[in-house]
Amino acid sequence: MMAALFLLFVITMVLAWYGKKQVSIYLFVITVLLCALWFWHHMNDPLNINL
Amino acid sequence: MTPSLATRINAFGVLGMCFILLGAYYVQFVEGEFPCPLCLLQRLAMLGVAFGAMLNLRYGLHPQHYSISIISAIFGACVSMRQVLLHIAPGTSGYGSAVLGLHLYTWALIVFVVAIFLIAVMMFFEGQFEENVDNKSTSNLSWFIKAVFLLVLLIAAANVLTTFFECGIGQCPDNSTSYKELS
Repeated sequence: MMAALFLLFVITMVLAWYGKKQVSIYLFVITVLLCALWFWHHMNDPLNINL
Repeated sequence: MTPSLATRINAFGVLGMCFILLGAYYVQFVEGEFPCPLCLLQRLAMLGVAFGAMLNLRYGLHPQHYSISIISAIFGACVSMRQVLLHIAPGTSGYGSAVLGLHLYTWALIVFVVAIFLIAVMMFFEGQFEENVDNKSTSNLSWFIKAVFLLVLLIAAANVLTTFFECGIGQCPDNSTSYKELS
């Protein structure tokens, strides 16, 4: 799942390089939202300090 | 501040983020420490900070691009703050070994806070936004900017592979000791 988030970032950067700025920004927002969702899920997990 | 100076500062900002991400790889591969899920999230946030600056290099300087870096830095600061707080209680050892006296997640928090401050300072100078040339062709970009872009792309792609080998397609283990997909 984390690898997929990195992959989304790679796609975002490639799109930005090839002139698709608006699409890359939308994809960036989606990636950040997914990261935030993952982080929220982590915050609500039982406490585990081995992180 | 002239647009060319601001562009150069952005390029060096991206290089700084690359340097930090390569440092994380040094700890991962040379010192043999596996990144935790929160550490990977911090790496993503650093790529986000670099992405905002990369848009400035590719499309010209624009407040929207700086805001992308700030959003990423705030997110990264939240994640690293969470990790610092997990280990703040006396008697709990931190995750991984310390570098120059601080754990990597503490350094990450410092980096994100400094990044937010520096971006705010950059945005203070309005002169850089006067010559806004959008939709520049890549052929107009200098070899240095192309090299910086390529370096970030390579680091992000390398993270796709190493994260896949460490975590697979499921959730990352809390305390990795091996590459799940290679064992």
